[in-house]
Amino acid sequence: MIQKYFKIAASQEAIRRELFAFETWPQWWPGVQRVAVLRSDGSKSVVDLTVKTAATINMTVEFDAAAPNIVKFRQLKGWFKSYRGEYAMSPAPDNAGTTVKITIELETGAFVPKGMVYSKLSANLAELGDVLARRVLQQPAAVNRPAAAAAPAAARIMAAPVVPEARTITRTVAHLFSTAKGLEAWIDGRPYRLSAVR
Amino acid sequence: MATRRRLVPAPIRDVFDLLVDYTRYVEWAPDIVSSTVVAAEGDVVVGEFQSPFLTGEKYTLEFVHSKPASIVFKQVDQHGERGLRGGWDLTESGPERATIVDAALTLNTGVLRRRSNEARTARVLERRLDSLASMFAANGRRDAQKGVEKETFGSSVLRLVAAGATPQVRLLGTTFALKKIDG
Repeated sequence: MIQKYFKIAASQEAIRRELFAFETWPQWWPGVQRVAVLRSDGSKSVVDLTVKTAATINMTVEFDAAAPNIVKFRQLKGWFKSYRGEYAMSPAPDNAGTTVKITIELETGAFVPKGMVYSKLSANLAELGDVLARRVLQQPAAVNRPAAAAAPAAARIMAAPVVPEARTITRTVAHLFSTAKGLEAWIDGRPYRLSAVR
Repeated sequence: MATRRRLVPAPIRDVFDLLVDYTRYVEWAPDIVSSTVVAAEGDVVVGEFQSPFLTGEKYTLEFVHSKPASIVFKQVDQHGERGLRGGWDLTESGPERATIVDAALTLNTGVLRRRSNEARTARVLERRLDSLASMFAANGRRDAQKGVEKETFGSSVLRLVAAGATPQVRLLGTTFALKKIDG
Protein backbone atom coordinates (compact mmCIF):
# COMPACT_ATOMS: atom_id res chain seq x y z
CA MET A 1 0.00 0.00 0.00
CA ILE A 2 1.13 3.53 -0.69
CA GLN A 3 -0.44 6.77 0.50
CA LYS A 4 0.02 10.33 -0.64
CA TYR A 5 -1.42 13.44 0.95
CA PHE A 6 -1.61 16.90 -0.50
CA LYS A 7 -3.25 20.10 0.54
CA ILE A 8 -5.00 22.23 -2.09
CA ALA A 9 -6.41 25.69 -1.39
CA ALA A 10 -9.77 24.88 -2.96
CA SER A 11 -13.09 23.33 -2.06
CA GLN A 12 -13.79 19.60 -2.22
CA GLU A 13 -16.31 20.29 -4.99
CA ALA A 14 -13.70 21.96 -7.20
CA ILE A 15 -11.25 19.08 -6.72
CA ARG A 16 -13.91 16.47 -7.27
CA ARG A 17 -14.95 18.19 -10.49
CA GLU A 18 -11.40 17.93 -11.88
CA LEU A 19 -10.99 14.33 -10.78
CA PHE A 20 -14.22 13.38 -12.55
CA ALA A 21 -13.50 15.25 -15.79
CA PHE A 22 -11.97 12.03 -17.16
CA GLU A 23 -11.69 13.32 -20.75
CA THR A 24 -9.34 16.12 -19.62
CA TRP A 25 -6.88 13.81 -17.86
CA PRO A 26 -4.47 13.46 -20.82
CA GLN A 27 -4.05 17.27 -20.72
CA TRP A 28 -2.71 17.35 -17.18
CA TRP A 29 -2.52 14.01 -15.33
CA PRO A 30 1.14 12.84 -15.36
CA GLY A 31 1.54 9.81 -17.61
CA VAL A 32 -2.08 9.56 -18.79
CA GLN A 33 -2.09 9.36 -22.58
CA ARG A 34 -5.63 8.30 -23.51
CA VAL A 35 -8.99 8.10 -21.77
CA ALA A 36 -12.27 6.68 -23.00
CA VAL A 37 -15.36 6.69 -20.79
CA LEU A 38 -17.07 3.36 -21.41
CA ARG A 39 -19.98 3.76 -19.04
CA SER A 40 -21.29 6.35 -16.60
CA ASP A 41 -24.40 5.87 -14.52
CA GLY A 42 -25.19 7.56 -11.23
CA SER A 43 -22.15 7.50 -9.01
CA LYS A 44 -20.21 4.88 -11.00
CA SER A 45 -18.06 5.33 -14.10
CA VAL A 46 -16.01 2.82 -16.05
CA VAL A 47 -13.02 4.25 -17.88
CA ASP A 48 -10.49 2.81 -20.29
CA LEU A 49 -7.01 4.30 -19.72
CA THR A 50 -3.61 4.24 -21.38
CA VAL A 51 -0.90 5.27 -18.94
CA LYS A 52 2.83 5.61 -19.57
CA THR A 53 4.95 4.97 -16.47
CA ALA A 54 7.77 2.40 -16.49
CA ALA A 55 5.93 0.85 -19.46
CA THR A 56 2.85 1.82 -21.42
CA ILE A 57 -0.11 0.09 -19.84
CA ASN A 58 -3.79 -0.23 -20.67
CA MET A 59 -6.36 -0.71 -17.98
CA THR A 60 -10.09 -0.50 -17.43
CA VAL A 61 -10.94 1.13 -14.12
CA GLU A 62 -14.21 1.56 -12.26
CA PHE A 63 -14.68 4.73 -10.18
CA ASP A 64 -17.32 4.80 -7.46
CA ALA A 65 -18.28 8.12 -5.89
CA ALA A 66 -21.24 6.93 -3.85
CA ALA A 67 -19.70 8.07 -0.55
CA PRO A 68 -19.71 11.86 -0.04
CA ASN A 69 -15.98 12.45 0.48
CA ILE A 70 -14.42 9.35 -1.01
CA VAL A 71 -13.95 8.18 -4.56
CA LYS A 72 -13.05 4.50 -4.75
CA PHE A 73 -11.44 2.93 -7.78
CA ARG A 74 -10.47 -0.57 -8.86
CA GLN A 75 -9.06 -2.17 -11.95
CA LEU A 76 -11.57 -4.32 -13.80
CA LYS A 77 -9.14 -5.40 -16.50
CA GLY A 78 -5.52 -4.60 -17.10
CA TRP A 79 -1.82 -4.93 -16.51
CA PHE A 80 -1.77 -5.44 -12.74
CA LYS A 81 -2.88 -8.54 -10.93
CA SER A 82 -4.98 -6.19 -8.82
CA TYR A 83 -5.12 -2.40 -8.49
CA ARG A 84 -7.47 -0.53 -6.21
CA GLY A 85 -7.60 2.46 -3.93
CA GLU A 86 -9.38 5.68 -3.11
CA TYR A 87 -9.22 9.46 -3.12
CA ALA A 88 -10.42 10.74 0.25
CA MET A 89 -11.06 14.44 0.78
CA SER A 90 -11.33 16.25 4.09
CA PRO A 91 -11.00 19.86 5.26
CA ALA A 92 -7.34 20.84 5.68
CA PRO A 93 -6.27 21.07 9.33
CA ASP A 94 -5.66 24.83 9.00
CA ASN A 95 -9.07 25.30 7.30
CA ALA A 96 -7.30 26.63 4.23
CA GLY A 97 -8.72 24.28 1.63
CA THR A 98 -8.85 20.54 1.30
CA THR A 99 -6.54 17.66 2.08
CA VAL A 100 -6.61 14.93 -0.55
CA LYS A 101 -5.42 11.52 0.56
CA ILE A 102 -4.69 9.00 -2.17
CA THR A 103 -4.36 5.36 -1.18
CA ILE A 104 -3.28 2.74 -3.69
CA GLU A 105 -2.92 -0.99 -3.19
CA LEU A 106 -1.62 -3.13 -6.00
CA GLU A 107 -0.35 -6.57 -6.81
CA THR A 108 1.96 -6.80 -9.77
CA GLY A 109 2.14 -10.53 -10.42
CA ALA A 110 5.22 -12.75 -10.39
CA PHE A 111 7.19 -11.29 -13.30
CA VAL A 112 6.90 -7.57 -12.61
CA PRO A 113 9.25 -6.06 -9.97
CA LYS A 114 6.95 -4.59 -7.35
CA GLY A 115 9.63 -2.22 -5.98
CA MET A 116 10.13 -0.60 -9.38
CA VAL A 117 6.39 -0.16 -9.92
CA TYR A 118 5.91 1.37 -6.47
CA SER A 119 8.90 3.72 -6.93
CA LYS A 120 7.49 4.94 -10.22
CA LEU A 121 4.03 5.25 -8.69
CA SER A 122 5.41 7.23 -5.75
CA ALA A 123 7.16 9.70 -8.08
CA ASN A 124 4.02 9.93 -10.19
CA LEU A 125 1.85 10.71 -7.15
CA ALA A 126 4.28 13.39 -5.95
CA GLU A 127 3.96 15.07 -9.34
CA LEU A 128 0.18 14.60 -9.36
CA GLY A 129 -0.21 16.67 -6.18
CA ASP A 130 1.42 19.69 -7.83
CA VAL A 131 -0.37 19.44 -11.16
CA LEU A 132 -3.80 18.82 -9.62
CA ALA A 133 -3.35 21.86 -7.37
CA ARG A 134 -2.32 23.98 -10.36
CA ARG A 135 -5.19 22.65 -12.45
CA VAL A 136 -7.83 23.33 -9.79
CA LEU A 137 -6.49 26.77 -8.97
CA GLN A 138 -6.43 27.76 -12.66
CA GLN A 139 -10.20 27.40 -12.90
CA PRO A 140 -12.29 30.60 -12.71
CA ALA A 141 -12.64 31.90 -9.15
CA ALA A 142 -16.43 31.61 -9.22
CA VAL A 143 -16.17 27.93 -9.97
CA ASN A 144 -13.38 27.45 -7.54
CA ARG A 145 -14.60 29.17 -4.43
CA PRO A 146 -15.81 27.17 -1.47
CA ALA A 147 -19.56 26.48 -1.27
CA ALA A 148 -19.84 28.75 1.79
CA ALA A 149 -18.69 31.76 -0.22
CA ALA A 150 -21.57 31.40 -2.69
CA ALA A 151 -24.21 31.14 0.01
CA PRO A 152 -26.34 34.08 1.25
CA ALA A 153 -24.73 36.31 3.90
CA ALA A 154 -26.69 34.84 6.83
CA ALA A 155 -25.80 31.34 5.79
CA ARG A 156 -22.16 32.36 5.37
CA ILE A 157 -22.00 33.53 8.97
CA MET A 158 -23.42 30.22 10.14
CA ALA A 159 -21.01 28.28 7.93
CA ALA A 160 -17.88 30.27 8.73
CA PRO A 161 -15.20 27.89 9.93
CA VAL A 162 -13.40 28.49 13.17
CA VAL A 163 -10.00 29.65 12.00
CA PRO A 164 -7.24 29.10 14.55
CA GLU A 165 -5.25 32.13 15.61
CA ALA A 166 -2.52 32.79 13.06
CA ARG A 167 1.01 32.10 14.29
CA THR A 168 4.24 33.39 12.94
CA ILE A 169 6.73 30.61 12.46
CA THR A 170 10.16 31.63 11.28
CA ARG A 171 12.43 29.10 9.71
CA THR A 172 15.91 29.14 11.18
CA VAL A 173 18.24 29.22 8.20
CA ALA A 174 21.41 28.29 10.07
CA HIS A 175 22.23 26.34 13.22
CA LEU A 176 25.68 26.16 14.80
CA PHE A 177 26.94 23.27 16.94
CA SER A 178 30.13 22.89 18.90
CA THR A 179 31.20 19.25 18.51
CA ALA A 180 34.22 17.14 19.47
CA LYS A 181 35.46 17.59 15.87
CA GLY A 182 35.02 21.36 15.89
CA LEU A 183 32.30 23.71 14.76
CA GLU A 184 29.50 22.28 12.64
CA ALA A 185 27.00 24.52 10.86
CA TRP A 186 23.72 23.42 9.31
CA ILE A 187 22.74 25.81 6.58
CA ASP A 188 19.50 25.34 4.65
CA GLY A 189 19.18 21.82 5.99
CA ARG A 190 22.69 20.60 5.13
CA PRO A 191 25.68 20.15 7.47
CA TYR A 192 29.14 21.73 7.02
CA ARG A 193 32.36 21.54 8.98
CA LEU A 194 33.81 24.97 9.76
CA SER A 195 37.53 25.63 9.73
CA ALA A 196 39.03 29.04 10.43
CA VAL A 197 40.76 30.70 7.46
CA ARG A 198 44.14 32.15 8.42
CA MET B 1 18.06 1.99 13.50
CA ALA B 2 19.91 4.99 14.95
CA THR B 3 19.03 5.76 18.56
CA ARG B 4 20.08 8.60 20.82
CA ARG B 5 19.24 9.69 24.37
CA ARG B 6 19.41 13.19 25.82
CA LEU B 7 18.33 14.96 29.01
CA VAL B 8 16.29 18.01 28.08
CA PRO B 9 15.82 20.71 30.74
CA ALA B 10 12.05 21.06 30.47
CA PRO B 11 8.89 19.38 31.78
CA ILE B 12 7.69 16.38 29.79
CA ARG B 13 4.50 18.13 28.60
CA ASP B 14 6.48 21.06 27.16
CA VAL B 15 8.80 18.71 25.29
CA PHE B 16 5.87 16.65 24.01
CA ASP B 17 3.98 19.77 22.89
CA LEU B 18 6.97 20.99 20.90
CA LEU B 19 7.60 17.60 19.29
CA VAL B 20 3.99 17.32 18.09
CA ASP B 21 3.90 20.90 16.78
CA TYR B 22 5.08 19.80 13.34
CA THR B 23 4.89 23.18 11.65
CA ARG B 24 7.54 24.42 14.13
CA TYR B 25 10.14 21.86 13.08
CA VAL B 26 11.58 24.48 10.71
CA GLU B 27 12.44 26.59 13.76
CA TRP B 28 14.48 24.05 15.67
CA ALA B 29 15.27 20.90 13.67
CA PRO B 30 18.42 21.85 11.74
CA ASP B 31 17.82 19.47 8.83
CA ILE B 32 14.20 20.47 8.16
CA VAL B 33 13.60 23.26 5.64
CA SER B 34 9.84 22.89 5.22
CA SER B 35 7.15 21.30 7.34
CA THR B 36 3.38 21.36 7.15
CA VAL B 37 0.49 19.42 8.65
CA VAL B 38 -1.70 17.94 5.92
CA ALA B 39 -4.17 15.92 8.00
CA ALA B 40 -5.06 15.47 11.65
CA GLU B 41 -7.59 13.25 13.35
CA GLY B 42 -7.39 12.63 17.06
CA ASP B 43 -3.99 11.22 17.96
CA VAL B 44 -3.00 10.64 14.36
CA VAL B 45 -1.35 13.48 12.45
CA VAL B 46 0.12 13.48 8.95
CA GLY B 47 2.85 15.95 8.08
CA GLU B 48 4.87 16.72 4.98
CA PHE B 49 8.55 17.56 5.44
CA GLN B 50 11.65 18.34 3.48
CA SER B 51 15.07 17.40 4.82
CA PRO B 52 17.67 17.86 2.05
CA PHE B 53 20.29 15.91 4.01
CA LEU B 54 18.06 12.87 4.54
CA THR B 55 16.12 12.61 1.29
CA GLY B 56 16.06 14.80 -1.79
CA GLU B 57 12.29 14.78 -2.12
CA LYS B 58 9.57 15.91 0.23
CA TYR B 59 8.21 13.04 2.31
CA THR B 60 5.03 12.34 4.23
CA LEU B 61 5.04 10.95 7.77
CA GLU B 62 2.13 9.61 9.78
CA PHE B 63 2.50 10.22 13.53
CA VAL B 64 0.66 8.43 16.31
CA HIS B 65 0.68 10.23 19.66
CA SER B 66 0.41 8.72 23.14
CA LYS B 67 0.38 11.86 25.24
CA PRO B 68 2.70 12.75 26.87
CA ALA B 69 5.12 9.85 26.65
CA SER B 70 5.49 8.66 23.09
CA ILE B 71 5.25 9.53 19.41
CA VAL B 72 5.82 6.96 16.70
CA PHE B 73 5.99 7.73 13.01
CA LYS B 74 6.43 6.12 9.63
CA GLN B 75 6.64 7.33 6.07
CA VAL B 76 3.43 6.60 4.19
CA ASP B 77 4.34 7.68 0.67
CA GLN B 78 6.71 4.71 0.27
CA HIS B 79 5.70 1.10 0.10
CA GLY B 80 6.44 -1.73 2.51
CA GLU B 81 9.37 -1.16 4.84
CA ARG B 82 10.98 1.54 2.69
CA GLY B 83 11.31 5.12 3.83
CA LEU B 84 11.66 6.73 7.24
CA ARG B 85 10.34 5.46 10.52
CA GLY B 86 11.11 6.13 14.15
CA GLY B 87 9.84 7.63 17.33
CA TRP B 88 10.30 9.78 20.41
CA ASP B 89 10.00 8.32 23.89
CA LEU B 90 9.81 10.74 26.81
CA THR B 91 10.39 9.96 30.48
CA GLU B 92 10.15 12.37 33.41
CA SER B 93 13.48 12.73 35.12
CA GLY B 94 13.03 13.09 38.87
CA PRO B 95 12.22 16.31 40.66
CA GLU B 96 14.26 18.71 38.51
CA ARG B 97 11.53 19.08 35.86
CA ALA B 98 13.71 17.58 33.17
CA THR B 99 12.85 14.98 30.53
CA ILE B 100 14.85 12.08 29.17
CA VAL B 101 14.29 11.98 25.44
CA ASP B 102 14.95 8.73 23.58
CA ALA B 103 14.90 9.23 19.85
CA ALA B 104 15.01 6.63 17.08
CA LEU B 105 15.20 7.02 13.34
CA THR B 106 15.81 4.72 10.41
CA LEU B 107 15.85 5.31 6.67
CA ASN B 108 15.44 2.33 4.38
CA THR B 109 16.17 2.96 0.71
CA GLY B 110 17.43 -0.53 -0.08
CA VAL B 111 20.67 -2.43 0.51
CA LEU B 112 23.00 -0.16 -1.44
CA ARG B 113 22.83 2.92 0.78
CA ARG B 114 22.43 1.20 4.14
CA ARG B 115 25.68 2.46 5.70
CA SER B 116 25.24 5.96 4.38
CA ASN B 117 21.64 6.09 5.63
CA GLU B 118 22.70 4.89 9.08
CA ALA B 119 25.34 7.63 9.29
CA ARG B 120 22.92 10.29 8.11
CA THR B 121 20.09 9.35 10.45
CA ALA B 122 22.52 9.18 13.40
CA ARG B 123 23.85 12.67 12.62
CA VAL B 124 20.34 14.08 12.19
CA LEU B 125 19.17 12.60 15.49
CA GLU B 126 22.23 13.92 17.31
CA ARG B 127 21.72 17.44 16.01
CA ARG B 128 17.97 17.46 16.52
CA LEU B 129 18.53 16.51 20.15
CA ASP B 130 21.31 19.12 20.52
CA SER B 131 18.96 21.73 19.14
CA LEU B 132 16.02 20.61 21.26
CA ALA B 133 18.10 20.68 24.45
CA SER B 134 19.64 24.09 23.70
CA MET B 135 16.25 25.54 22.78
CA PHE B 136 14.76 24.58 26.13
CA ALA B 137 17.93 25.64 27.95
CA ALA B 138 17.69 29.06 26.27
CA ASN B 139 13.98 29.29 27.19
CA GLY B 140 14.91 28.49 30.80
CA ARG B 141 17.56 31.22 30.88
CA ARG B 142 15.10 33.68 29.38
CA ASP B 143 12.48 32.77 31.98
CA ALA B 144 15.08 33.22 34.73
CA GLN B 145 16.22 36.61 33.42
CA LYS B 146 13.16 38.43 32.17
CA GLY B 147 14.05 41.08 29.64
CA VAL B 148 17.16 39.33 28.38
CA GLU B 149 16.77 38.64 24.66
CA LYS B 150 16.91 35.05 23.54
CA GLU B 151 20.09 34.33 21.63
CA THR B 152 19.41 33.75 17.99
CA PHE B 153 21.63 32.44 15.32
CA GLY B 154 20.51 33.17 11.83
CA SER B 155 21.59 34.29 8.41
CA SER B 156 22.39 37.79 9.72
CA VAL B 157 25.10 36.37 11.98
CA LEU B 158 26.44 33.82 9.54
CA ARG B 159 27.27 35.80 6.40
CA LEU B 160 28.42 34.16 3.18
CA VAL B 161 31.56 35.99 2.08
CA ALA B 162 32.81 33.75 -0.76
CA ALA B 163 30.81 31.29 -2.84
CA GLY B 164 32.33 28.62 -5.09
CA ALA B 165 34.01 25.28 -4.50
CA THR B 166 34.96 26.18 -0.93
CA PRO B 167 32.42 28.69 0.35
CA GLN B 168 33.44 30.87 3.25
CA VAL B 169 31.36 32.47 5.95
CA ARG B 170 32.00 35.28 8.37
CA LEU B 171 30.95 34.46 11.90
CA LEU B 172 31.54 36.71 14.92
CA GLY B 173 34.58 38.40 13.37
CA THR B 174 36.26 35.26 12.02
CA THR B 175 36.22 33.86 8.50
CA PHE B 176 35.56 30.13 8.21
CA ALA B 177 35.76 27.77 5.24
CA LEU B 178 32.76 25.45 4.89
CA LYS B 179 33.32 21.82 4.05
CA LYS B 180 30.20 19.82 3.22
CA ILE B 181 29.55 16.77 5.37
CA ASP B 182 28.20 13.92 3.28
CA GLY B 183 27.40 11.10 5.65
